[in-house]
Amino acid sequence: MASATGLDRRWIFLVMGVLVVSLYVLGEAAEMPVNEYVQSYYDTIEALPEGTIVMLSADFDPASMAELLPMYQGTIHQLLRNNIRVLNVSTWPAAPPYTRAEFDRIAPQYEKVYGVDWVELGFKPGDDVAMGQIGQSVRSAYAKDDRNLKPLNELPLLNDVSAGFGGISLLITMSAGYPGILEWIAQAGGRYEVPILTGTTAVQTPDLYAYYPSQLEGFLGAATGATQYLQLVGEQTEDVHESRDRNQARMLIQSWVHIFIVLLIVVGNVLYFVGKRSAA
Amino acid sequence: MKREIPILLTVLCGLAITWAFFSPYGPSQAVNDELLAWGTVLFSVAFLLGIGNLVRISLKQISSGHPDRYYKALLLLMLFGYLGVGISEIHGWFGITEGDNLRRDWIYNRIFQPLQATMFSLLAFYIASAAFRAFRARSMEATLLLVAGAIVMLGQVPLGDQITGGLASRWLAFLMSYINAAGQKAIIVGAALGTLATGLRIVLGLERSYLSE
Amino acid sequence: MEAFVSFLDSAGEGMAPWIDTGKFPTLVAILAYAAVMFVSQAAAKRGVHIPIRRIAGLDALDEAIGRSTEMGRPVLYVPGIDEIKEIQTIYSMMILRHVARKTAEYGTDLIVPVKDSVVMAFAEEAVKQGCQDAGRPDAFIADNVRYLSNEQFAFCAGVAGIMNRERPAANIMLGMFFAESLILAETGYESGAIQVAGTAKQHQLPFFVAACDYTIIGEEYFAVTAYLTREPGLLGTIRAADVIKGIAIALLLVGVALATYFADVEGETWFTTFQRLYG
Repeated sequence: MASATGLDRRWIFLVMGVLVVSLYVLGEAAEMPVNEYVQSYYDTIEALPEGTIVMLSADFDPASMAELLPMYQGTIHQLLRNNIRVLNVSTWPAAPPYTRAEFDRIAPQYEKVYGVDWVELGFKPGDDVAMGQIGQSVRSAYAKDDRNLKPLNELPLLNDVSAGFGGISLLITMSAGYPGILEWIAQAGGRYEVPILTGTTAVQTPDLYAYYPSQLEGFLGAATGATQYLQLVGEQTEDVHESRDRNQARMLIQSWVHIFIVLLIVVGNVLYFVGKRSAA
Repeated sequence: MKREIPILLTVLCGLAITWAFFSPYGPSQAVNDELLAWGTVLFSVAFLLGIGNLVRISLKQISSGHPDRYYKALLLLMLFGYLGVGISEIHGWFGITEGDNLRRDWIYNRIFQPLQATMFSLLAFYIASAAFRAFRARSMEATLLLVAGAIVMLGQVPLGDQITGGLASRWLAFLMSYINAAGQKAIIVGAALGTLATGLRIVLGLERSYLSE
Repeated sequence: MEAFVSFLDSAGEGMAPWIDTGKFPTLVAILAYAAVMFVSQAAAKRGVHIPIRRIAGLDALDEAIGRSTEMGRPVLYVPGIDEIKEIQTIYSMMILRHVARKTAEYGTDLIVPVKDSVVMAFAEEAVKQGCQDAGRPDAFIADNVRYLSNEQFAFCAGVAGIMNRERPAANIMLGMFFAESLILAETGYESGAIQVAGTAKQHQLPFFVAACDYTIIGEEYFAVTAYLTREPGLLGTIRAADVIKGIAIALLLVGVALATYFADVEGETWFTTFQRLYG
């Protein structure tokens, strides 16, 4: 397990583990500045008129929930608080149980009625093919809703939705990978010119700068974006304060881990040049 | 004909779906919908192929006394056990209330979800060891890589800004919005052209090496 | 032209337009690309020399397989984790056939773990064909093409397990990868294997660059089969991509110049316009 410098990488793992655990136990939350992309995400939703319909796609699984679920929670709060109607779909099979739990918890706070204010259509298999089908016609893609297994024509919200994203003013996706935001941009933004917002994991975030602002109205990048967004949502919504504080504390841990990695890079280079000089 | 028919099918289906992208004409969209539905069915049925392969290899290793036979037995137990639990809950067998997903959700939330999150968490540790080992200023390009990596890591977190007096996030914004976006767009365009070329060759039946001879 | 466009747009009552004129430029671009590709392929088949610069990762493929043979250990080939409809996966199958031919020639075992059942069928066929190309159909071992799981990290754990238990001397990871790329690359590094990785998925490239011995980046990935086989048709395709890229760069520069020229506000100098737009 020894590396080229003679340092066993398990020491690095140990220090990292101790650092994370101690900060988790002892760390405190701190406010952070909001970047332009998060502000744009928030402002786009705030600008929607009451009663408009938004398609909210949960494209994640437990592995990425730590980053994406807080974004999802904050988005549901912001949408329902502003009386935006939500059509919830998913192209990842693991997501619907979690999204159902979130709507169960949050919707009653705003006295929202299922079928009128929000509908859960659930998981649609087929990856980007499924996205194409949803875009072409929600009613053809789904026979029944996922919560009560009722035909779609019994749900009042669907009366205002037509083929080709008709009636849907905005698409929001929490995307952990494939299928996700890039496929939605091709299937929805490219084909039907629907405005799109997204929240993604850290690995996918660098991709999004190339699509902003032409194909993306705004985006939440990784845990940093989630924290900044929850700060904005938390100005009017008390329910997210706990999640916001938890994310701010997590940002402290992430800060120190990043600094630790930068220090590792510096130490590694020092050892490299010292070793080179001694060899010379 | 063993090769010609698959190639003909590939060409016809490829052209039909490509044409449906350009033509909102009713019949072309109907053909597209039908082909997409067939694709969904094929992918679903292909699961059986994969399960068959998994079961065959696992049983072989169990029966031959392979050192990993216990893990293979556990794999098969989890595979068919979870399948059985899910089916019995859907149909309400063994006295379970029909549609009650408690057991399936319990296995998913208590076993699968923590395992998946754990595997994902390994990335954090591996990034640290990879950064220590690989980010060495051996050349100009490697130096640029490590400097950019350090700027991104510091700029993403509030503490990085405090250490650098607010410079880290400004440099990060510049790096990501201009240099990264330009580089990403260039790679995206290059990869897209390669994808288009290969796709055209496959759809037009020019590329056949993936087919059996 | 306007009459032609309005003819296309109109379609009589109750009938959709024959063609979405908003996508006309896309159709023209694809047809132009196809035309350039055919011309380039024809030129290549006529004998026109089309050079490809040296790509270290591709030269290392043979070295990696040779190393495995010397050490008596298998070669591990991971064709990515995406489905067969992803072009990178199809391309990976073509490269797998070449790698299978090499391993069959050298008499080395080739292990191919896959994440998708349809890809498994293609992988089996590619390995079988590769063995036949080498004149060694008996070298094909069906159990070495293994479907592990459709779940990303379950597949990753399975491949990591193969790397740790079966200790391949060469890891070849070519295809579409996601978050598991660093775990695979680091585990492979720790097992002591020589690693060649390649993907056109740009956000996984840094992890491969950091952890692998050789990395094939972006569009180099689509030049692999042309590089290895030097088949005229494939070389022509590479040339066509380069021609289209040159046209795209020229159009980009012209577009930027025109947009800058027409963006000036009265009273602004060219320099202040440039500063306002791009500063």
